[in-house]
This record gives sequence, C-alpha cells and structure tokens, in this order.
Amino acid sequence: MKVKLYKAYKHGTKHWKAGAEPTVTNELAAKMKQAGVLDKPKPKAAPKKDEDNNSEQE
Amino acid sequence: MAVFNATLLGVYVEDTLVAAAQDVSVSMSVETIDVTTKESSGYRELLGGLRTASFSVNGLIDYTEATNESTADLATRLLARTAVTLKFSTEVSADQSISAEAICTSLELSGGTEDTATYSATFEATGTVTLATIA
Repeated sequence: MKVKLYKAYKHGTKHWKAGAEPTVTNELAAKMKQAGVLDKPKPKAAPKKDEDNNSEQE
Repeated sequence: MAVFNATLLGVYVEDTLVAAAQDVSVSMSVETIDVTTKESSGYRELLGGLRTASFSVNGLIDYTEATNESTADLATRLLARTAVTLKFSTEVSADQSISAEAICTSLELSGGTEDTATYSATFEATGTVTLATIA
C-alpha cells in the first residue's frame, strides 16, 4: 500500500525523508504505523486567552 | 469466480515495491528423481526432488526514482550478492502471496531508439518459499 510518511524512517538500506510516499507491504506499513511515522502531526493548540483580563475589560 | 486485475500484482524487495514495473512473474518448479525399476511395469516412477523458485520483474527505467525500489537499488543488490526478502503480492486482504529470500541474479537495462528505456531483473530464491494468505 502507498503510505505517506510524516517523519523520516529507516528500513534496511532505505532511508525515507518526511513527506516521502513509498509503496510498501502491509507488514511494513503496520510497523510504520506503530512507530507513529504515518500519523499526521497534531496542529499546535491556539494560545489560551487570559480570562481574568477579559473579565476586567467587561 | 474471483479473477482480478493483475495491475495490483507487484514484487516487493525488502518490503518496498519495485518501481515502474510493467510485468511481474514468479516461477516455481520441482525437479524429479527417477526411481523407475524393473518392477515398475514399464511405467516411469518419480520422486519429488529439488524445489526452486524465481521471480522476475520488467519495467521502465526512472533515474529519478528515490522512493520505491529503483534500478539503481537493484544494481546495488546484485553487486552485493546478498539475499533479500522478496514478496510477490497484491497486498489485498485474502489474496495469496509468495515470498522467499532471494538473490538478484540478473539485471538488464536497455534502450532502443525512440523507445522507452527498460529494465529486466531476475531473482532466484534461496531456502524456503512461503505461500500465505494476506491478512
């Protein structure tokens, strides 16, 4: 299956960079999944608003 | 009947698809040992002998291929003379796969005039050949 790597991954002589889209066996895809290589990076959380400041403004 | 489109069939070297393939094949055979005797009533009698398997893959050369198994990778493996894990498979659940350790025994790169550049690689299995149902 074709997979998209979100992190660099080394397998034997292959050294894929993040963003590579190799076609690999189901077994290797499962290993990659386990290593978290196929998981999209979580978007950074928006900075929390200071509630106290907001209440003062009201 | 569950015939399928052979485009799905590929050869995977060390879990990575051989790139730009157009034809893939696996050939398995068993040599026979003749055990015919005078008591065979005039019929040949055989025993199963040496089992062999070979894989071949033909396709188009892409020198920019850096993700899947390229002709450069195949050449490196041939020159290294070491066995690699080979799998002939669709990677579709419930289909059959054939895998073995194998040595790249030939690699031919060719190009004519006004034609595509092509490659042809052959692998000979060493040791056990495994048939499996894809999970």
